[in-house]
Amino acid sequence: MTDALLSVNDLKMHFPIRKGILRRTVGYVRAVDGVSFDVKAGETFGLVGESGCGKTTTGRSILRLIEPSGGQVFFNGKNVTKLSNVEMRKIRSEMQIVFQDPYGSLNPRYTVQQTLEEPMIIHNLYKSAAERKKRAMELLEVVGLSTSRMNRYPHEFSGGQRQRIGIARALAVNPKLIIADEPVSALDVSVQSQVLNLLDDLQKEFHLTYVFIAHDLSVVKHISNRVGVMYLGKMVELAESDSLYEKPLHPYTQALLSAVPIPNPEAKRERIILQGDLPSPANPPSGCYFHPRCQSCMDICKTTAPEWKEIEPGHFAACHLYN
Amino acid sequence: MAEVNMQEPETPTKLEVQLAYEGMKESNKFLRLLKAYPLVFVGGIMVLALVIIAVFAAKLAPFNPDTQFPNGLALDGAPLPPGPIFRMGTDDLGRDVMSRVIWGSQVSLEVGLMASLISLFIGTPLGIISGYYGKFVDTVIMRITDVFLAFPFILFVVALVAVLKPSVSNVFIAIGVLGWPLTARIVRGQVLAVKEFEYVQAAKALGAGSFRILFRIILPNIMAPVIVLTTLNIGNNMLLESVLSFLGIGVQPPTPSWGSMLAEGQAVFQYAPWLLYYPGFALLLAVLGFNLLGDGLRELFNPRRVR
Repeated sequence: MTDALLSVNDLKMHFPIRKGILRRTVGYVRAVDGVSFDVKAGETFGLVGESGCGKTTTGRSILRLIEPSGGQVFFNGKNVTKLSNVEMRKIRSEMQIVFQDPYGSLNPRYTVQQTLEEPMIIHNLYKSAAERKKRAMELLEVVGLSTSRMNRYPHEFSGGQRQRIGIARALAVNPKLIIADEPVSALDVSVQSQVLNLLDDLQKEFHLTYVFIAHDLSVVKHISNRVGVMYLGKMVELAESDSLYEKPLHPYTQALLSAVPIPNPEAKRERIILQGDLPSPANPPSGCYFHPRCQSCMDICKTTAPEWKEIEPGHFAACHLYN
Repeated sequence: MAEVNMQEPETPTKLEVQLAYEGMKESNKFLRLLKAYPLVFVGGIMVLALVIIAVFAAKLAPFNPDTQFPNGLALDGAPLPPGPIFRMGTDDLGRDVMSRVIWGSQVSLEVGLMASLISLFIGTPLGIISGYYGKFVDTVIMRITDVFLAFPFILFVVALVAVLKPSVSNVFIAIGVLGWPLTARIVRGQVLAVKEFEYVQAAKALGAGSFRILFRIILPNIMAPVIVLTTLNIGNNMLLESVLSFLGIGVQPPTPSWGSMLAEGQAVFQYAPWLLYYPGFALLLAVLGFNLLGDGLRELFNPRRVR
């Protein structure tokens, strides 16, 4: 795809397991094991999966907060994984991240003003302190916080307010892409919707592109145009949001969706309960990684990894059921 | 109110409540701190008093500390107890103890401060680099600290004094050079904890360079324990100085130092206990002052302090 703002190609993040006094590498944790997807400018790409499936690692290796061990990431046509440190630092103003934990993501020794001005100082965006202050105040207004709180420290804010400050900080450098790493999972449900709506509004206002990482399918449905489902470091299904929610193809996606609560106590439906635990990414199962927990497991699943195929237009999945 | 306000609390409103302290003057802030942390001020006053005594020793001391007064000894040659002329008594050479205690504060303060600063300026950068970069760099730096920590302190000073001349500056160099591994260790531990916070990741994502991350983001967040450690070190280093002087490898006579006064006094303390009381008490107050100040500074540097 050429119109993609972000294109992730076979991204791998293998963490070495070292043992013994010589620290020899005895194996790898395949946190992310060959993930590929494209994100078009202006869309929201949701990335879901259970804990430990590599969503966050994917997000962070796209930004090279951790160095990916393989694959390429193209942003605006540039191969991000090949950039030098200096070039990388420049391009960082175009791709930003909003973190999960609003308590840990703000420097406790910076006032809100300092937090918001720091990115401007790093990227030399404004000449004078007055301009920076003006911009910081604008940012606070954009995310719906009062500018009278500019000189407060993060601990004087609530979780939702902090997350707004985190979003304002990401916006300070006028990015094109924001990777939102579970931005609402640490928040109260009532505050979640406020932050989600804020993200939605900001996207319209500033033509942002989001990669939205979450484990909560209803949250992802609310905000995403397309959704990718990850399992044990691999992408198992990728589709338009509507098509994924209406007609999930992969048995794992089906199981996940069956766990989403329906706000109607009368509604009856079949709940697919996955057996067993998530296998260790250091020692993944043979064949299809999902086969030990799959309801529709066939013989071929135990030996051969399924191909990543476009099963319906725009709807990709990796499952032997559709071969 | 007839209607419960369901509006989200974050919406900016014109009617925001101003917290009381925002418009407060500096002087009020100071009073408020004084009330909240009286011990900091006790420590601060003690340290300040020590500094004043050390700086104005020449004016404050009633006599020359090295003069051996003919009238400073009793007829049988014993030191004089505290009296109207020699207010803290005299030592067995007939010197005025009060003058020597006052002059001794210079040595203690100089050694305490300089040794701590040496440890701080060697230990902090090495600790930060070790903790942040990890891996090979960390291993190398930490093994060097192990070597230094394993070095017998007295042996090192004896060796140093054998090579150089025993002097005040060599004493604080020795204490400082052997003290940095502790600072480096503590700094490293703090960095290891702080670097995992997402705000460090956020700074990286914003494009901050290593220097900014290390010294603008991480350093301020680890400074509180380091400052406390350094202040406490000042007190400890003063004690070490007196140990070395007591053993005769520190400050050399006739330069008055609290440690050497204790060393000289111990031979005759059974019948002249004031020779130990006054320098010992001075040392106690000085160390206590720095410890109280150190504890208080930790509170003051904490942006979350409640009071």
